Amino acid sequence: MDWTAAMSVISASFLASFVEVVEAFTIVLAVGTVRGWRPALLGTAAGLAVLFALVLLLGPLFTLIPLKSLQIVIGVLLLLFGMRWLRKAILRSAGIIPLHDEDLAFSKETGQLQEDAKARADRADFLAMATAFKAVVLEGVEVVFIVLAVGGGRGLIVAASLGALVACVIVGLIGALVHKPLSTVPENTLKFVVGIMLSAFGTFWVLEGLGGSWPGADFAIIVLALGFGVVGFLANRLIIGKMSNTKRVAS
Amino acid sequence: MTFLNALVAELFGMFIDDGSLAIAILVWVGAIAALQASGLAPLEMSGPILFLGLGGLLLENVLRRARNR
Repeated sequence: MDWTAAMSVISASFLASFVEVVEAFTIVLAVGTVRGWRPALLGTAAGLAVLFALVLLLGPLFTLIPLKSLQIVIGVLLLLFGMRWLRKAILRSAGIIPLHDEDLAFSKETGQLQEDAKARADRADFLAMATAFKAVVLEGVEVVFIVLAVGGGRGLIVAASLGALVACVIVGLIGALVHKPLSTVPENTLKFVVGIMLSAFGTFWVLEGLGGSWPGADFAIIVLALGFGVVGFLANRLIIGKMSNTKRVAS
Repeated sequence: MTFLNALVAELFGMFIDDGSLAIAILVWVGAIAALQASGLAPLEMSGPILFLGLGGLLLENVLRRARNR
């Protein structure tokens, strides 16, 4: 096993999953707080079962696709996904769009669940369970994509799954201990880093899929990540600089 | 149906947030594929050209978004 590739796959999968699991946890916590832990945990378990089934079903299918074609498809999807995250993280860090607020998400979800319970008391537990299930599946679909995409290009799906699993366990443990939304997690910084890593993987695999090769082989992923990091940092500074210039002119 | 709609929206939204950036990425990857196939540029230059184009597209996109806010 190539350890540079394996470690980059595990860290990308861990960090990306961590962000998504924190978001799903907020909603599961809201369900548990409002309607009790039985529907919250049942919904979570059902959602996780669907996600595991997806990995088990789609993972082996990847081995049937010729490697070059797989690398192009995965590379392009990773580029779209990673650059979308990076773009959003740059705009959030520069204050162009608001940061994701777990406390706000928690209070919104709690309010919605309380309204649902009043309006449809006979089905309140079912609706709560469905809310937890939906949150786990919708956030988890991104985790499944990341696991399959970063792991699939090199036959490292097990390593990528391990990264995602560790993220689930850590968020679960911290969540069980603190019992409140994990709003202090530097979500935007994590998204910035993950966006950089996924964009680097995508760029690397697209070229390999097209029949090109990178100087330094797998080490090029790290160089590409540094390159995207510089672009992200530069974009942030340029936006902040322009905004302060505009403010100065306006005043 | 609501759940399925949300799932489809989530799947679509995973890859496309700003349509112009997504299209630009696809066009750039296509251009690199054409460049490789034509043999107009040395093979070892394709990687750096691919990266520089993507970095430029991202930079232009976020600066435009910041300008139009």
